[in-house]
Amino acid sequence: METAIQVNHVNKQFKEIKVLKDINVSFEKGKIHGLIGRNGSGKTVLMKCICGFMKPTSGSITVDGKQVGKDVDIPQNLGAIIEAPGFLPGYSGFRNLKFLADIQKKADSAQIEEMMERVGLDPKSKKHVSKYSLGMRQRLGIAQAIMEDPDILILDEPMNGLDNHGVEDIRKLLFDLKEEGKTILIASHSAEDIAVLCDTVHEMDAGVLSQVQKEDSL
Amino acid sequence: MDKCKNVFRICGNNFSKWKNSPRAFICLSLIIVFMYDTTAGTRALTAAQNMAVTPWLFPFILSYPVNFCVIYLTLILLFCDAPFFDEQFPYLCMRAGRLIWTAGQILYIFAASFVFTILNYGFSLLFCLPNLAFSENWGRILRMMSMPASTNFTKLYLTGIMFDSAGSANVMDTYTPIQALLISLLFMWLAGVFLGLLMFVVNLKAHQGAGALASSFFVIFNFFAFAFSRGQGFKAPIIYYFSPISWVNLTQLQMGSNARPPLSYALTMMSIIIIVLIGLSLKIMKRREIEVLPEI
Repeated sequence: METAIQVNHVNKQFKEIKVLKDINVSFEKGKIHGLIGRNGSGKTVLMKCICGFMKPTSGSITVDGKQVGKDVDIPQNLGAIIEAPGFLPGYSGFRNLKFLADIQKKADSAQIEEMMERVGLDPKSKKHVSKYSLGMRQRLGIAQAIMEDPDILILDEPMNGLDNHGVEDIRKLLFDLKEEGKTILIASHSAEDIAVLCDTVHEMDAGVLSQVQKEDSL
Repeated sequence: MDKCKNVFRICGNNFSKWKNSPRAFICLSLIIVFMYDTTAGTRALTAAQNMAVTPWLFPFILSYPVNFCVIYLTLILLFCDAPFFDEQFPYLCMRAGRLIWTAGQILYIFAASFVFTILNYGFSLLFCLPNLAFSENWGRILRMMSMPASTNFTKLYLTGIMFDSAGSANVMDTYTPIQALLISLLFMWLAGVFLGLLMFVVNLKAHQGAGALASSFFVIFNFFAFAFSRGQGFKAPIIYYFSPISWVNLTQLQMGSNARPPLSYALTMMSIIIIVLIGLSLKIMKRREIEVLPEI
């Protein structure tokens, strides 16, 4: 069992408020891991700490063998969608992704087109992102996370704004990505998504993380 | 090389946002309206005298402190969201890294301030058309406009612009037209960079919005520095040593033996302040959490 993400005794505090309390968890490679919990329970903060967006008050996080904040500032080989994905509203979806991809040059135009098609978007469309529906923006956000073919995906509420058809599409995509050997960490309000998709499920309650059975998450 | 390209990419990305930013349009509108109004007197005078004005008017537009307030409060409006933590920020930062992202934002402040300066200058020329003619000298119109108010019949025409008469005459005696223009443009650009970086640093350290207050303080301080240094009982031009925004105005710099800051002091201090602010921006951003902040 290889570990993709290792979280060791992580605490996160904002002034007097403890948002994460001694989190200890490891996420195995090649599986889909679910995080459930109420709003404000600390799911997003944990994900931000894993991505290197926030530094834990204490404890350490290792992603792909490298300690976040020590060996790497922001882990490479990691794709994420956290909170609302941001794009330039006056440009097409493809142009937005191309701009992001050009920074690391890990994905060429063909790959971007392929990923857009995989999430159900038309890469040839000239439609500006400002004209996108919430669901289309979400699909574009997911394409942004996967286009550079990262081994680890951190997806915070990836089904937000998607209709039933969209949810089915993304579930299928996530299963395919798992088959390709990706490690996926998903936070969701939807117990059904978690139960259908995830190999392991953890529940966050007031900053405390505990593993639960898949059936219990429903 | 790639890192360098990414700095430019991130800078360019901020310019792309102007297309959909009401704030950018408001700033452009303010520049246009302000420059149209400011050059109204010059247009009237050139028409009445049937003479053209030379393209060296710009340094004198900056000689009246109310003009400063309008110009720089417009710039503050453009930069008040610095360090620009919008929804795109986490995704750019993930790919480029904090340092490159920050360098891109700093470059944007330099570039946007430059564009802002050129737009102001460009519109000041545009609105003087068609009575605009190139000359290596100041030209009769600008000489007339710098006459003392008591003898200056041209004031009748000057509905839009007010010259600091004594100061303007000194500037004409001290600098060549091209020198005065280039120094004014350089300081206007650097003062914009100073205000932008100040907002960047203060917003990072304090809360979003505090930077705009800090920058506005320096703009307003310039206004009061002008008022105090001219006051009957309080003549203290030394105050200009502590007012970087005032250095844009050539009439507030040392000419001859007055007690105002010399050009070399202004240039050196402005450079030091900007370097310190860049250093602070990079240092603070290294530890700053990556989070989206609401637009002001």
